[in-house]
Amino acid sequence: MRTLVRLNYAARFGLLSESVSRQSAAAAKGKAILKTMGLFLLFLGTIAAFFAPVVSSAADKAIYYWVSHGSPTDPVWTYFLQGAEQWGKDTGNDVRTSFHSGDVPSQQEAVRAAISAKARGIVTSTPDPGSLTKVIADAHAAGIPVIIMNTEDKTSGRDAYVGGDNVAIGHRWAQYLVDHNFVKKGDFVWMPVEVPGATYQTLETQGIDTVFKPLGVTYEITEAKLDQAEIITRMSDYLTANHSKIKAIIGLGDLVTGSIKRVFDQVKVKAGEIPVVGWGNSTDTAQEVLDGYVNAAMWQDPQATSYLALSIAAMTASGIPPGFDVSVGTLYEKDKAATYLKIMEGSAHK
Amino acid sequence: MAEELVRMEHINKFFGRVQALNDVTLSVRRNEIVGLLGDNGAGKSTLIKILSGAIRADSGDIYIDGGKVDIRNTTDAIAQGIETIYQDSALVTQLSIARNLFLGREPVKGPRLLDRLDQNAMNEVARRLLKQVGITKEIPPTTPISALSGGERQAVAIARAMHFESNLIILDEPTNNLGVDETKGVLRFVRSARDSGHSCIFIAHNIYHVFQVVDRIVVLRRGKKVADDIDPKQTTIEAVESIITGMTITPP
Amino acid sequence: MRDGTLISFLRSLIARPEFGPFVLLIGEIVAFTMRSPAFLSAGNISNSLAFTPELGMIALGMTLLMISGEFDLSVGSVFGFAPIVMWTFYNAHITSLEVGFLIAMAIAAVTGFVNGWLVTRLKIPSFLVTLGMLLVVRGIALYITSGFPQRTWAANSPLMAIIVGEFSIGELRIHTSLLWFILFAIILGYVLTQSKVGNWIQAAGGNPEAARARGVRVSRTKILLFILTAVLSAYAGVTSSIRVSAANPNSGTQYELEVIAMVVIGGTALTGGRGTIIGTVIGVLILRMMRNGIVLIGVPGLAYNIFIGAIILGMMALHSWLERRHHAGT
Repeated sequence: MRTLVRLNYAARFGLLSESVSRQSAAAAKGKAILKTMGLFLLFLGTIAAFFAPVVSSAADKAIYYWVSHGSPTDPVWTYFLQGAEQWGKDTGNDVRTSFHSGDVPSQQEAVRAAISAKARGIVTSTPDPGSLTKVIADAHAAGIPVIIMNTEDKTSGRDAYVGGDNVAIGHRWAQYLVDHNFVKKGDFVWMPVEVPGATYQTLETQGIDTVFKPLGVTYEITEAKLDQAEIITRMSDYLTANHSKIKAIIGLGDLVTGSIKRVFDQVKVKAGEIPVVGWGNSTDTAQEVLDGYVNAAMWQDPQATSYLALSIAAMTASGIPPGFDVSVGTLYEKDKAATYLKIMEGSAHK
Repeated sequence: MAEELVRMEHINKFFGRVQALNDVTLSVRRNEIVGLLGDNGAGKSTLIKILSGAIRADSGDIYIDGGKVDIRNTTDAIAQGIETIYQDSALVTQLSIARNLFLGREPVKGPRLLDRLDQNAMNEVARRLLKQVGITKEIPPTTPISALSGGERQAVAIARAMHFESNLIILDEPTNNLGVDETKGVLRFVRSARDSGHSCIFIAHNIYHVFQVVDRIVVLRRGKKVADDIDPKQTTIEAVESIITGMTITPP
Repeated sequence: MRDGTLISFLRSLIARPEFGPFVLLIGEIVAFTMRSPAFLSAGNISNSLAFTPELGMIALGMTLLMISGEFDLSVGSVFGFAPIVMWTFYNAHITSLEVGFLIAMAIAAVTGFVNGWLVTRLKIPSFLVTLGMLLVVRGIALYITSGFPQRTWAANSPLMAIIVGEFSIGELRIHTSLLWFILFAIILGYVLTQSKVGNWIQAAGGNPEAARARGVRVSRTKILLFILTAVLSAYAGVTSSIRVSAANPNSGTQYELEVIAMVVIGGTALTGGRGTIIGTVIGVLILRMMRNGIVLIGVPGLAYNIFIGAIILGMMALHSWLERRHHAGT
């Protein structure tokens, strides 16, 4: 009696349709379910076979993990990824990449996965200051070097840093303006930025100060925000109001520097009328340099950053400790702008 | 003569400018099945919705056991012992028979803090009730409602109404979507409900069904009551049909 | 009976709605391990089980809420906001960590109450209400921090060890958050299947009109579930902030979608009325292991989402097919 009550749903259907006898209906349904499960397991087995290693073993190639805190939809990170993939191709090593869109727990989990997989080296970028310290310690305990790229964290214990030094970059911009006689003592410089107070802005300003303060050059930092349309509006307003006193412009972010042409056109300022330097990681800015709106733009060498970071990781893993960091950043002018434009447009068409 | 259980007096209801019910008085005695007949738009559903608390009348009174009551919502109606069986049985299809039977009034065992369902008690009572409403098949009370046929679902709904000692069970067109066998089952349940002490109001289009179970027929036409106290045993279907459609002769 | 009890037991096991997801979980583990044996290493299991409880706790609350027929899209924002509240109070020396924790939980409860009230009283669909709440809470978090993360590593309180302390069993490193997750799962599983309230939850999702007609306090039940979900999200957020040493106002972004995916993969119907805690736990493991495994074996970073999406779609197809067979007998 008990077993009757414990029949499953399929058997119950057999029970309630009044025609067929209880047992054969239950058996038929049971068979159908088992057949289904068999097909399902076969399907899973096929997937598993797909995942099985094709070559003898993965132990031949060294495995490196490249873990980015950025978003896969961010076009700038695409260049970084290219550099990592190129390195993998050139060296024959297995480079495993992932993006974490700012999700710290997810990124820490990825680095720990790399440790479990006995990676030869790990390259990663910092999402929040202090968030990588523990995982880097774990990696070191397992004998795996960790190189930080692009967003630095000095106290994290990383083996080396490859990326831009925003202080140095700010210094280079300011020095460029001085070297080319675009600014002199007493002049005023406009410095628009998307998010005032953000780390990148404060560091860049520190570098700029080392050049401008002793020279007595003054400046103003204005907020442009992150929305393209709003950036153009705010910058146009400011330029209109202060046109006469601005002697040079430093674009402290990619979006503002990439908006210079549109802002100048809107306020009827001619290309080259006011010298401009700033970030140059977008096709907009590269084009502006070619067209004469921007004098010099800073390319953050994304592919080189990844490539070098992985190389340093490999070097460290081989027992050669890196006693240095690598500071990247190429200030390109009109003559080199086409190269960078091609790089950026090339990846768009890939 | 059995005493009066429910009395609706001088009920009026307007929907906008349309008068759905016009001075309707209806009474139901204890242990009685009343058939409420009428064509489309006669007002049967409206009248019954007022009694079950789904709508409020514009004017008129309701008396239960001689005392006046105010039924503002379905909870009030249930509190007065009036249960309504709708076409879709108001059952939760994903839950089992036992869980549906006791929905809202689940028995608990053990410390109150744990709020633990007494599933053994629920299943026992469910089994008993299913037999009572005439389901002879062995359907485990843990079967989900989704596995039951339309007629069986109605049976569960009726069993629920019967178990919770409702005085009046209203069945609003319960056989509409059912097959022949299932309809017979529902009619059987209705009779056994009356036999175990509940009164019923049975609304239908289909006179043939009504004739098989009710003790008394009331006819509504265009919002007005046009006939009462019709004994199905002493009249014919044709006679009642003519009342529904419009001849004003009261049969003998 | 010719069928042995073993066979009928196996059959009843196969018929359970959690069986499909369970098979998928096993298949997934097998596939990943074949590709990289490190997947099942003690280190990686410890790693997997570190983050899982945080999303898992939210999923538990979301399960009950979805069974009752409602969604909560604001869980990710609450996840990020609660630790901001706690750490802001602590870092500004206004209160101790413990009191900051209680304040954060209280604010979460209020958030849940507002969600529930707007849904049940004003009859606005929960999708819209919690979408608005998602924006409001996230906005407040960003505003009060100006986008900057709160420091969390200067603190030293027993509360931290209780919530997410680390200890070892052999080679496995376990966090206490895993134990809390298991405890919550057991409690909520009990509530759902064995208690009176559990019956109401399922009825409220399956046929709210019928439930109301039987006197079930549907609105009150739903409000309680919104509060539960918000508090669990806040608790999970605090857990995460302590464990990863970061309290970022953007934490938890898009977690709501991942949690809903976990719950649905585990067998809870999007339309309500049906679902199990065991299924959700399996769904949590499926998605979390998928994410961990994909990174481990080296699926190209940009193709990541394809795999996650494919598995979600695949499970949905399986569920709907099983659902149709289940109803075939009616």
